[in-house]
Amino acid sequence: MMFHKTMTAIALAALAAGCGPGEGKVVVYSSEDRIFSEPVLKEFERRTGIRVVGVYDTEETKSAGLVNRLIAKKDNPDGDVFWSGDPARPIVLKSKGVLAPYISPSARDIPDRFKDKEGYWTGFSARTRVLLINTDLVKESDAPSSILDLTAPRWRGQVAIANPLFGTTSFHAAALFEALGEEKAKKWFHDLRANDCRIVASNGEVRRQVASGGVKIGLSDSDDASVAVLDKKPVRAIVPDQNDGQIGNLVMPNTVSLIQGCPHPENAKRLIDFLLTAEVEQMLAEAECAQSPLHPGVPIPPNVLSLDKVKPMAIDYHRTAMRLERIAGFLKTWTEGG
Amino acid sequence: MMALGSGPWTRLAHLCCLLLFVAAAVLPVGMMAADSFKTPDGISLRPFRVLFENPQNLRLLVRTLLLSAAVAAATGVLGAALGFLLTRTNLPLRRVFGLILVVPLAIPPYINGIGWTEVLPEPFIYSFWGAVFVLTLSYFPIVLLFVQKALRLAAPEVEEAALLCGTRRQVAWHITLPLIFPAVLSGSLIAAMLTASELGVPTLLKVSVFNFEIFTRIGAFNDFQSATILSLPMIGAAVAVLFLEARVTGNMTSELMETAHAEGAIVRLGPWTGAAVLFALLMSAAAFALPIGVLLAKSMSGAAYARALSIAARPLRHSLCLGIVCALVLTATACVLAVLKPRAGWQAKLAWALPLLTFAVPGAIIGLGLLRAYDRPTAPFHVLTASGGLIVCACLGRFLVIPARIVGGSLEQIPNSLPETAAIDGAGAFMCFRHVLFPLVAPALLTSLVICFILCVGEMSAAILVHPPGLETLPIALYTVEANSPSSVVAALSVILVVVTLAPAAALFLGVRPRGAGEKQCL
Repeated sequence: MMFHKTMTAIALAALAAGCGPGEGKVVVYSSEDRIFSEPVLKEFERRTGIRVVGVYDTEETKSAGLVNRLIAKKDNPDGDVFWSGDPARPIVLKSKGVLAPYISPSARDIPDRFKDKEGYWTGFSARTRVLLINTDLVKESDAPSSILDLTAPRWRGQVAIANPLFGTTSFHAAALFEALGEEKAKKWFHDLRANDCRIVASNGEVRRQVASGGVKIGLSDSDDASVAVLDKKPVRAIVPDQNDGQIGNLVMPNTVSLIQGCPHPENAKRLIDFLLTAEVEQMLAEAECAQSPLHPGVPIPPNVLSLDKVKPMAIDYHRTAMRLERIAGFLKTWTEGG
Repeated sequence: MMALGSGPWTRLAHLCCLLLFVAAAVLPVGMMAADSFKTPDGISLRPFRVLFENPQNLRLLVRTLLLSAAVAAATGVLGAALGFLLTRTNLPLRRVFGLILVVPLAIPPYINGIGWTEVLPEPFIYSFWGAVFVLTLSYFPIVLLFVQKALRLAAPEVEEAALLCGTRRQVAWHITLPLIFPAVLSGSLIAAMLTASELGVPTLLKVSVFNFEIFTRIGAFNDFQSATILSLPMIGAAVAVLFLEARVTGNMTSELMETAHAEGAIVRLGPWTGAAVLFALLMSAAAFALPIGVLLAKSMSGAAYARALSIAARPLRHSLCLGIVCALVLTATACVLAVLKPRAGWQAKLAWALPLLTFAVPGAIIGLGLLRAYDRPTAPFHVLTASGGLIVCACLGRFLVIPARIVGGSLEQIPNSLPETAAIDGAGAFMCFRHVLFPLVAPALLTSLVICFILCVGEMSAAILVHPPGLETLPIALYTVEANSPSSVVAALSVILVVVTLAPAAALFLGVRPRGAGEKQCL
């Protein structure tokens, strides 16, 4: 009898968790690192009383990931909002009909280049790509200023890069094809491979390799670099390609999107409006991820890069995402050593 | 070979249970497979070019099979040796060792791998043999548990009779080893299949494997069709395993274990005691102390545990509930399928083969298949999806083979004469199960519950796709905070995961003494 009661209680609890009334609730899919996105979502919950249920992502190479879940659940979505760590994912999801347009009033001050014209995604708080240098192994004067320098013989076997088929590294690869042109970009990848660069599972692994001295330089994201610096690791981040004649650096905003046919559209819009405020950008600037605000005039701590001081790569996000699909075969062959 | 499946009602009940499994796990995978034939021009074999267009696929497949074979061989040797030491010898502290040596099952192989990368030299650990090493230490407890169970059920009379005309070594080689061989083979094959489906360790140790190719199709290309097609060779490998198993074990079980019913005899180690204790200690250190030690060293702060507990509180409850429900469902399904199995025919063969085939399918494909089949807004499907029922289905598909082997193997060791005698005395099928079979298979059911709980609590690859919002499990929480969280918090979360996974197992193992303990006869 005890057994039956226990099992019934478990079943009812599970049903209650999954089949709540749905009022005062919003479900957000977040591919932004949970450690950074969860406090922001809790703040929304505290202010509005709307319960936020988060569905978070792993590092790219550790699970099939949220994008695939959203695609698979396209006809019966259980999420309301998609918070992406980069613009590539929402562009893929837009092309597959997973997203709905929504132009938030909070996004008025955000520059147009960080927004989808039709409102399928809107950018906020950006990361940049960085060269992460081990300061015990590389003198400041010897550090490279461009990612194109990584193919130099002196860095042979000393550079780590995350698998370019996944995550922000894949978007960076597509951006390089856009900025350099196909021929130059392919040559750079081949030269990098010939220089014995290490291909690791994730940007987090790049950070660990550089911090431990396994390699001298890594190509990573600014939030990974910030975490390592705050953790007092012997590392320094360099924003590459900022000089005249250089291609500039990739700036990757977070993006937020409304999910097509979502169960709680009004709460979803309130959350999107909240995420696109200057206040949230300030929270993300002050957090360990040290992300750069897109709203003008947001006060930022000294360790955060102001985008006013960054020479960005001259790319269009939509074209870059489309380019990513075209170069995926090349990148796959490249990672396999071909 | 024991079976109650002679009457039409038991056959029908068996069929219903089999159909439930088909609906829960086989149908979703089948729908994914059917989708893989579809092209914009209609049904075509053209998508299957993905299997052959890249010679790299063949190389990866061969490497994966070699990795699986190496891990199977190593886990077989270690599991058999340790199983014998812990069950049939007077090894000091063998119950403590028995508990410690199943701990690796509760540690995700990936975390085990991280521990070893900090200890072993780089050229070795980041290599094919490094992966064999880490995965062997993660999976040998499966063989160990299978062997322990087989030895506890093996008939002592056979060995005792053999000892009358042969040496102990001859008896071990010609009697004991064949007795436990089916268990070693089953356990090793399961270790091999788990190796083939493992992604975290090969990725960490930079060993390219076929499963990563499947994953890349999903993760990088959002291409479910190619991923499903690339899974077919893994199902083919499972079919080959079935044939191999059938050929090698053949009638061995029924011939050698026909009279199995009592505890085996204890072998005195004598002068070998020191070496045996050293071996057990080394294995305990390698499989338990090192990975746990690394995690504890990294997590040594109250703040880290406070943070980890705040993250883990809800997922912990969900994992415990799901672990218990899944363990009960899997063990009950395996039990019904084994007990009611017809003596022969397609039903019996399907019940034996299907769980192994779904076991070979990557978790992500099972997850996507379940969404494809059951993620619908109408009421019954919505309840299934929103209550976490799809996680149970995913666990059925991924792991039913294990309780099926444990429970089915135990039942096969019970001589037909026992239920037949009960039937002659007028006992029906239920009475026969309740009073004759259940007491004999209870240890196997217990082992099955513990292993299922451990595996289901640790499942992530399918659960991350099918868990309802708000019902995330502990491994999902762990892997979603891993990126950019302080390593102390990640380590503390890992320790919590290991403790939660092991606590019920420890309670069960410590709370239930083996039958006849203390009454064993020494050879």
